[in-house]
Amino acid sequence: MASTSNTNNRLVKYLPFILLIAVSVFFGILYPTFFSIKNVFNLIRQMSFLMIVSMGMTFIILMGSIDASVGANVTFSGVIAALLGPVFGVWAVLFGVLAGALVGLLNGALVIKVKVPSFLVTLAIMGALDGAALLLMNSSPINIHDEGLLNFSNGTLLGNFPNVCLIPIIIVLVSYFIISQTAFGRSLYAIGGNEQATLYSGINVRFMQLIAFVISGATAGLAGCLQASMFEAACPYMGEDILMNAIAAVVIGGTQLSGGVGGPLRTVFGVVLIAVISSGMNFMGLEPATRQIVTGIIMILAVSVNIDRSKMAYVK
Amino acid sequence: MSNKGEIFFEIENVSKQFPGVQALENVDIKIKKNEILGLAGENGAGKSTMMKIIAGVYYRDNGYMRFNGEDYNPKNYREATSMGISMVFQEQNLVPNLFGYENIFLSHEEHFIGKNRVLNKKKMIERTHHHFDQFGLDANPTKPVASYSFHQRQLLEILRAFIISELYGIDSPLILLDEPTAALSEKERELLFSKIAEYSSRATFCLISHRLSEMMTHCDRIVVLKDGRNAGEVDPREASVKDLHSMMVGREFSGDTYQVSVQKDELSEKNALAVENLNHAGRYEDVSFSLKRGEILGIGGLVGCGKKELGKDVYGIEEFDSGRVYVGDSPVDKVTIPSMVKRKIGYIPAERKGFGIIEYLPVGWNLTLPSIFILKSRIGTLSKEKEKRMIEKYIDEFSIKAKAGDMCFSLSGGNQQKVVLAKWIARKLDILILDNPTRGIDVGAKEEIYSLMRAIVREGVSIIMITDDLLELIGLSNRIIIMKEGKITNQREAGKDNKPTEKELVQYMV
Repeated sequence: MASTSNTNNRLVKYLPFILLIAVSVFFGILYPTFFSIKNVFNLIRQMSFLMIVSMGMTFIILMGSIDASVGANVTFSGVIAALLGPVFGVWAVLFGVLAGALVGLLNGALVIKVKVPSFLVTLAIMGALDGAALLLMNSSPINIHDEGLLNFSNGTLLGNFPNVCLIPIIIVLVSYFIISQTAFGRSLYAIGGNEQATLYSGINVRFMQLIAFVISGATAGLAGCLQASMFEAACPYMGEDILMNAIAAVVIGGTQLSGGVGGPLRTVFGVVLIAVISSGMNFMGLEPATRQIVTGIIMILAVSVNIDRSKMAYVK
Repeated sequence: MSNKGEIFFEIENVSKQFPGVQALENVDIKIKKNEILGLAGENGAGKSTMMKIIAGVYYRDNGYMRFNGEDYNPKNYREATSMGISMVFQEQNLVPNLFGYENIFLSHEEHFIGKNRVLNKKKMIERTHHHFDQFGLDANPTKPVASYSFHQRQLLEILRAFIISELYGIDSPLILLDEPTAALSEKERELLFSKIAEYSSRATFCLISHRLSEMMTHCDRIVVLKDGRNAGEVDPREASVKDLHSMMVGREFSGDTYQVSVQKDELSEKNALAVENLNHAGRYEDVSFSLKRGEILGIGGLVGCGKKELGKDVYGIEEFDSGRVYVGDSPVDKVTIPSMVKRKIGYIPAERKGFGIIEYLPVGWNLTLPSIFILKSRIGTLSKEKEKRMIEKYIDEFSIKAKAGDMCFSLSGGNQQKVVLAKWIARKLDILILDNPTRGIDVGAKEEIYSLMRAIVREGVSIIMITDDLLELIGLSNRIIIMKEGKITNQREAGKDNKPTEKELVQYMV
């Protein structure tokens, strides 16, 4: 039994990496233009907001919770930024991030006070946010005309390096730093491993949970601003796909849904893998609907390899 | 009709080993028809294991069992029940949201499949009604058992034994009761025993209880187990509770395991911690005590006497209703875990897997968990450097047989417990509250834990040790508090040359 679980562990650890190479080689041979500079930048643009949201989601899943509101939060925060664009220009992004963080605070507060599983709390918040976003935009897209806000995604801050690449990289580095180098990051692993034992060890578990939800909310907010800026508009349900993809990216990367195992660098692989597969399917001429089905199947496969059944109790 | 006295169930030479523990060794028990047999022994003597083997929950390693003269080898609990043997478990074994009749026939529904392969619920309900009437259980079979009182649920479980036996054409079942009275009030206890006496003309009972006097009053015969072996038999009509207890305890107390010779008896007059008039409804009442600096204060009493809850409340895991906790001389405004840890108090729970360790984190991370927020680097992050030093130091000092990167679940119970102990000592504490610090670990590891405790105390840490193990209580403590039904019944010194005997303490427990 020990040996099978060991092979299984090794498989889980390297699976995203192996898969990524296999998939890249496959599409690279099939379509010579797949790795052209143009398409690579296209790929990066496409994965930028998923990368940001998935980083936030990694904090949450590491402690064994789920934030189902990130997709709706992306839409909601994008609307806030688009609405405030004419007044504050690029600084509207701050308000977008703040709005996302406040949603995260609400999620966290409900999880720790009402003691309802995070999945249910955030699912309810998801519905409410979608509704709120629709009301704010009067059910039709809000176009963005402000140069500053548009430049948030299209411009460059660092030489010729586009912001849309720079921002996700910064978020990955910051997430990696927080999770691997701080006591807060360590306590996320502990909470995911055994919440009660962590509590008994004197860690302020509730506070850590709250912070993690705020981080997840803030990243969703940032992703919403970036997406609205790229699309030059905030549209209804624009963040809808992100929820499933973000959970898929984290899980495919090898962070366990039950918590306690994994990390942000693994999630990076998960995000890239999803982006490559999705772009490859684009090359193959598959419709978005079909692509969603494939993503769903990949997620189930990833989860079935990834979940350590001995640890599977429930998702908190 | 009653053939009282005839051998009904025979256990011969039965042994059972669990990893690291010999739970039962060559046990012989004979159960006579229609008697109420008591099974007595200390915690860990093997009583519950014996019952679970009879009930088919565990399978014996060797030996024989005969039921009504025939070889008896149930594969599982269900098969045992269909042969006429049922167990009422300590934690009730009912599905709360199912109706009374559904619980009764759970897993035996195939007897009620009617035409069209549909379950004949009417028949099930009628049958349950009939038995409820016959046994005087005043409850509605078509209500969820969650709406029954505790006592009703218990009777339901006993009734189930009769009803299932009848289903399989057995006229006289054997019913095993594992501490049925632990959660009952006195009145309910009386009621339960009057029912048992009444039913005993139609069934045979085997009973475990921590209340020795209760067993003496209600049992026809008591078999005593000690360390997994037969220790003798008591006839309640001729013997006293004292006789029973001395048979349970048996051995004379030997001093060396607990390192009594190095016990420090000159204690500081200063309090490390004090508790004043602590109350928690239903758990304990009006508890006051103080913990001197550098002592081991042992708290003993039967399971359910409130000592466990007291420990949890003082650490802030649960809230007490009223009273005051002092650390040093200053009162604590609100007792919460983080606030107590800040005041340099740690707690080690009895349930190691549930609350002590994090099984799927490395040993090193488990060890530093309480300290992560103080192991700071210059820029305020978690210093890996300091952490590494801490881990190496304590793995070495506590001789933990594992590497820093090993997952905690792969360690033996003893080594896991050393990790739990080490994580608090690494945090540099003043006070440690231990709940059954050596539960479920083997003898060798126990002695290691004891010597670590002695070493910690020498360095000025004060320990509150809550334990079910009488010998541990006597051997390690400087002073001993005994609780009974939520109240402190005795407080006494237990100096090096002034150790009480087990009997002296037990009189305050029962």
